[in-house]
Amino acid sequence: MNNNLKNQKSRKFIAGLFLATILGFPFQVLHSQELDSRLLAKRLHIALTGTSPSSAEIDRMISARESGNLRRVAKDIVESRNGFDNGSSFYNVTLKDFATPWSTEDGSLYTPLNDMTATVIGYIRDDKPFNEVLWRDSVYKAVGITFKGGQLEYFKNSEFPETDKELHSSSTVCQDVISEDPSGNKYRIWYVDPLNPNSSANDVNNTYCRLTDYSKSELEAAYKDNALYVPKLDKIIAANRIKENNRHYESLEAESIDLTDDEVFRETSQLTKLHRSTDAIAGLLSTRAFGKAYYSAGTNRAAFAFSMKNFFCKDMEELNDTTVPDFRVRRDIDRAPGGDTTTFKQRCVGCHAGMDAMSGAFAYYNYNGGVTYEPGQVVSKMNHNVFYPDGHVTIDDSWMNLWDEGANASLGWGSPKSGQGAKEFGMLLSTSDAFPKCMSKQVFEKVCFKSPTTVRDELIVLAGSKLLKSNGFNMKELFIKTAIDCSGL
Amino acid sequence: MKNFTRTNKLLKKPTSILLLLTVFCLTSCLPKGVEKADESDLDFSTNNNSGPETSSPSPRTGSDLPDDGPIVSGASELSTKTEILNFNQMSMNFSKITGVDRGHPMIKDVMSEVLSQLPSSNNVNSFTAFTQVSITRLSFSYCDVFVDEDSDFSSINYSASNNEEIINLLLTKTLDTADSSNPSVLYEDLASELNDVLNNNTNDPEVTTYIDSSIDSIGDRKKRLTKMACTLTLSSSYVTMF
Repeated sequence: MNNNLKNQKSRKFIAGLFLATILGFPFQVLHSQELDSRLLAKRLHIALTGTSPSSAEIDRMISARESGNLRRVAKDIVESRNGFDNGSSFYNVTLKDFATPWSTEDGSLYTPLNDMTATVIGYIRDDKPFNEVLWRDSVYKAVGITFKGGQLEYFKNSEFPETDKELHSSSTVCQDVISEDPSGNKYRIWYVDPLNPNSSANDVNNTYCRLTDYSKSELEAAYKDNALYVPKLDKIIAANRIKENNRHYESLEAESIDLTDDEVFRETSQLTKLHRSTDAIAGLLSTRAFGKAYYSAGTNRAAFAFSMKNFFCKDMEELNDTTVPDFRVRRDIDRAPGGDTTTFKQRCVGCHAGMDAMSGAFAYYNYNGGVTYEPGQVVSKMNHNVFYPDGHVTIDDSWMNLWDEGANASLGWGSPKSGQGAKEFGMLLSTSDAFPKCMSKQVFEKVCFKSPTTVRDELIVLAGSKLLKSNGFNMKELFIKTAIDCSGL
Repeated sequence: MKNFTRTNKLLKKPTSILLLLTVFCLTSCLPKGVEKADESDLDFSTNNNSGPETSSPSPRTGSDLPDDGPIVSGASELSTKTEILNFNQMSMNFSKITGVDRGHPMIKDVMSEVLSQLPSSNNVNSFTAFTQVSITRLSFSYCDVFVDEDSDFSSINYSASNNEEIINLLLTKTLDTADSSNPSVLYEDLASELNDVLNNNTNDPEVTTYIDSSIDSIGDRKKRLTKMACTLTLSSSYVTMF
């Protein structure tokens, strides 16, 4: 078939699809009142998982509503168990959509999975106190074996190497695998247990074999890339090194890896994975995605401003308070913009007085393909521009909360009141009243498909905030409660 | 740019009119009985579940009721708007319905091409003609793999099978025909339309599928039409909106 004919056929075919789509559903949905509860159940299911329920699942939800077990059933929906089959959609879809806007300045959803969103998903999956995600040493990634680490080898099954026979044949698992492929055409992977951190290549009790569907060329490419092999899934995940680029997480998403599986996707330390020093580690604030979004260029004020937006639900304009002393406003802020000092006093200082006093927490961070952290070395961009020589010069990563008094005291700031570095700043955010309120508001927006505008909405948000504080910041429970409260079911 | 050029080529065809009709159809087919409630309809009492347009479910008084149970109940205006699935939800939904892995190479390729044209929010106001084009392309990619790889479809002899068998299988797998609350007219009308599609009925002014009957064998043609019929159901507002 020549190309023209192919193209013509393709165009006609797609045109036909449009027509078919149009014609198929002018008669859809002739609902009556009896359908309302089914519709509400469907909306609740979609709110939690992004997927439509089957009729049997709807029946179970309605039945649970009538017996007062809706909360329990909603948990089953989230965890895809007890008759609900949603795979990992709560994690791979709902939570991914929830956290993704935090990892870019424009808040776009069209952003691949990254270390920041993956860590949010992992924290919620494992029911960890979510306020600690802002400072604790944690990052979630896939678990597997790298091709060049000496803990993985691959062979064509029929080409069993005599030199390794003693080691490999000592594992009965390997013998079983060899016999599973009598033709010998498949490739076999010998590996050290990735879930046992103390296992070594010499420990036959922790070495295994499995057949793989990957071809020789694919395995060679993976070796060249030093990719990560996940034996449980027989999947190759690109680029284990998460410090330099985001390919690892993009690969997780492209391969549609089930993020509910804690044998595949689990927590690890940021030390060595992202940073060389524990001083640099500050939960989400020291992830690569956060750095790419907020430590890149600029003056590191974005890290503070977007922390307010993402974790306090406050834009800087809302935080403007001109009564706060301006002694921490940096030198790059003109005290008389346009020749008028009142502009500074009446507008600029309202944000900068508080922001500059706290953004010192990020003084040692920079982004250059990965997050860099040089203890004791204030990044030059913070003191580079001088419009007002008597302004504050950043000499270390100390910060102080000047908004603890004045209009912004209503945010219910936590502790400490002053400190050093991003980790302590993260602690401040995590112990503030504004954090659970903001999380509750964002969960509301996610599962209720609107912003809270009415008194009813505000009550739901308030109840969610209260729940979060009382149940150890369990976000999963917050999602479930909020979705039920606004579902109307 | 590549996608845009390809789309422009499509729009040179009569499909531009069809797209407008699509928008009209999808906005006029929104669920009835889900109109926005008035503020006066809201009920803050804990034990009164009656909403503006619902029957009155039993109060939540079971022993399983959590201590900090819902502060509000009853159908609210929150649950009475029509929304559209965003791109992530849509792909997961298609995957759940068809059983096709989102990581399938063909799905990944098409998804990367149409991603930016799929809805990024659940607000139905974001729906445009380009959105429907993209939804159709994505749903076709799922249906292409689905009809090829699903064991039930694989066992069909497309040269010999009658349309009813295919339509029943399609409706059972892609729409929830077990849901008795859906009006039977939905399935009857849809089955009729699918039948026209499967017949490649070029005489029907409403159905012109453009499958060139001189190229493929009868079996191949019927299989392609089955994929098309599957696309019809998958990309419909029944699946993509709620």
